[in-house]
Amino acid sequence: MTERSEPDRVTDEERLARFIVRGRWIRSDQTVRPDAFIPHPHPDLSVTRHKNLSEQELWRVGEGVADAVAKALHGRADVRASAVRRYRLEVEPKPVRDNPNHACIVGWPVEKPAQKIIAQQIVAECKFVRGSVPAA
Amino acid sequence: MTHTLTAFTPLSFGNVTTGGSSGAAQYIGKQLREGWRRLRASNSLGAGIGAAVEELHDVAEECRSGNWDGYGAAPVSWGTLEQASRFLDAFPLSTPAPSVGAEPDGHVTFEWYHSPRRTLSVSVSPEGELHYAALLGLRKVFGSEPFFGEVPQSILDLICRVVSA
Repeated sequence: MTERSEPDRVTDEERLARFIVRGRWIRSDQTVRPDAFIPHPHPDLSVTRHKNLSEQELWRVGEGVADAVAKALHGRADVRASAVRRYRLEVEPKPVRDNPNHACIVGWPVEKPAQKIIAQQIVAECKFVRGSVPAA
Repeated sequence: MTHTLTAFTPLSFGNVTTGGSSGAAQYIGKQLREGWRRLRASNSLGAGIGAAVEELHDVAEECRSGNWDGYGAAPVSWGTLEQASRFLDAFPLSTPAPSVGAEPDGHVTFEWYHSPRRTLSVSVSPEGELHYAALLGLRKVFGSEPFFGEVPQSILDLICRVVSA
């Protein structure tokens, strides 16, 4: 894994995407279950920053996540960094070779019920985007 | 969700024990369990819980290997499935059906959902712990309860509050 040096700070306005490869994590009303935001392996939750990515590039990252486990990409849950920070979590840039926009939501409490209530509140502010890779 | 729930019917044969080990006691216990299963399968009582059992089987199949979420999720173990199955069995027959899922740490989840801000999620761990969190409008409720074969009243009350909104 190659990491960039000194990645820039994630601003409050930035949107973060959590890619969904599990159909059961999407409710019938097109909202996302909190299960998708339980950190594991604790304490990090992987997300991708939208920053400087076109819609197509963003979906390509999601396809990479899905391809790695040979599953279909159902969509992504988008949330602003400010919504995450409201629950005393932080977003740290963690660029990786295949995804320079990779970041981790950190600072999760150890206790499972506390994780769950935070995840519920975050998904209440998420926007689910069903999608696939647009044609080039 | 359109459930209207005012009270749970106190009918649960999920943890039937006959108090005896004789052939007759075992036969009675078996008949009671069969009756309970038939009730669950009927359209009038507990049909939703029956659907949840089917969902649990599907989750078991989908999440038996690690990394099922693309982010390194832990597999859902047989121990967790066994606890989750016992948890479902313990519900009163009139309980509205939850939707079944799994979390990246390998816990099985049951969700009663009305809206994003009126929802209850209960996680079942392999050790038989129940971790729950509920949003009830602006109110938050969360905690843990041990599972000893009966659904804690606190969780039944939360289900009632979520689905009867």
